[in-house]
Amino acid sequence: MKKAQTEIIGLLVIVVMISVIMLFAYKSLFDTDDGVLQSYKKEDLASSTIRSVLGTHSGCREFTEFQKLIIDCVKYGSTGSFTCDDTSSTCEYAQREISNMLDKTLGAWKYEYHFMVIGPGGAPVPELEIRSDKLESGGDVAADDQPLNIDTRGTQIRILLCIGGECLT
Amino acid sequence: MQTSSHARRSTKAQMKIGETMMILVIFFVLLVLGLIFYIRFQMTHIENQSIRNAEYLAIQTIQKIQFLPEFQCTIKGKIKFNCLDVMRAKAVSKINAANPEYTRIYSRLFPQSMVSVYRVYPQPYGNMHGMRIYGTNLANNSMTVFPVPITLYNASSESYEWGYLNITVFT
Repeated sequence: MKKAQTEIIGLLVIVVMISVIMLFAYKSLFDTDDGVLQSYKKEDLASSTIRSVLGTHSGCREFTEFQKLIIDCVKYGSTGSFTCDDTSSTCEYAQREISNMLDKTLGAWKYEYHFMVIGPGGAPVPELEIRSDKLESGGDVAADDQPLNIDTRGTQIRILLCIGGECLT
Repeated sequence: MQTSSHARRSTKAQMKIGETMMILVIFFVLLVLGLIFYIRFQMTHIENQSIRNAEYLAIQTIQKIQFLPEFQCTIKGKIKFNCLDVMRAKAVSKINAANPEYTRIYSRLFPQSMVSVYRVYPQPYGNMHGMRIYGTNLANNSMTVFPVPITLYNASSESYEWGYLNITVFT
């Protein structure tokens, strides 16, 4: 074998080694499985939070669920159609207590969150908007959008909970 | 004259051998460094994979709990989703503590896991560690914690409270 051929084989060996290293580095850098799981975790967290909060007794009046308070607040505005036992309006009570609940769970688990209710006209209800202390727009946001009938004619509102950033409506 | 030429050739051959030796040494040093890097990377990868598996296990556990009749809230025959019957959960916890046979059945359903319930609203439980439904706390092992908010039905007061299920998977 001539000297030039030997050199070429040496170079080829180096090229193959560099290719293997680059493939290995690419595989380790762009491993995306984790992202899917994290996203599932947040989505699952958002949907179970909304569903469970809506079905919880609020303590506003005996056996009044948060769902009823939200519906009352959307239908009758900031004053509501009735007041709670502690004299606060349904909007005030729902906003205060849901904010407290989210802060003790999602906030304590270091999640950024944004809770909002979209009225029948498509506009957000400002009385029921809740944001975590540090909330940034963009980023990896997982959201759950729960429709809720507010009357027998099928008028719907939407309850949104976004985890990881601000909701974009 | 012949001796001098022979000596020169010998020195040249020695240099060649030295050069080859150096190349071999450098090659093996690089190979060993590569192997060390690869092993360390694989160890981190295995650790990450084990955390990921624990998270999948936690998700499976949550889904199983939500569909187990011994924990579900049934009001007049209707199942309420995302709801856990606290009285039933307490009963399961007591039965588990008294009968190791049941613990074995649950250990197949919830492997390497500890399931606890925490109440947040209206008031947290007096016990800060929540109410443990199943499992033992293997604090020395590494663990993955997966909390899921849930409605808690209290049959004694017929009220729906709010809290979360804490699934701890030990690896």
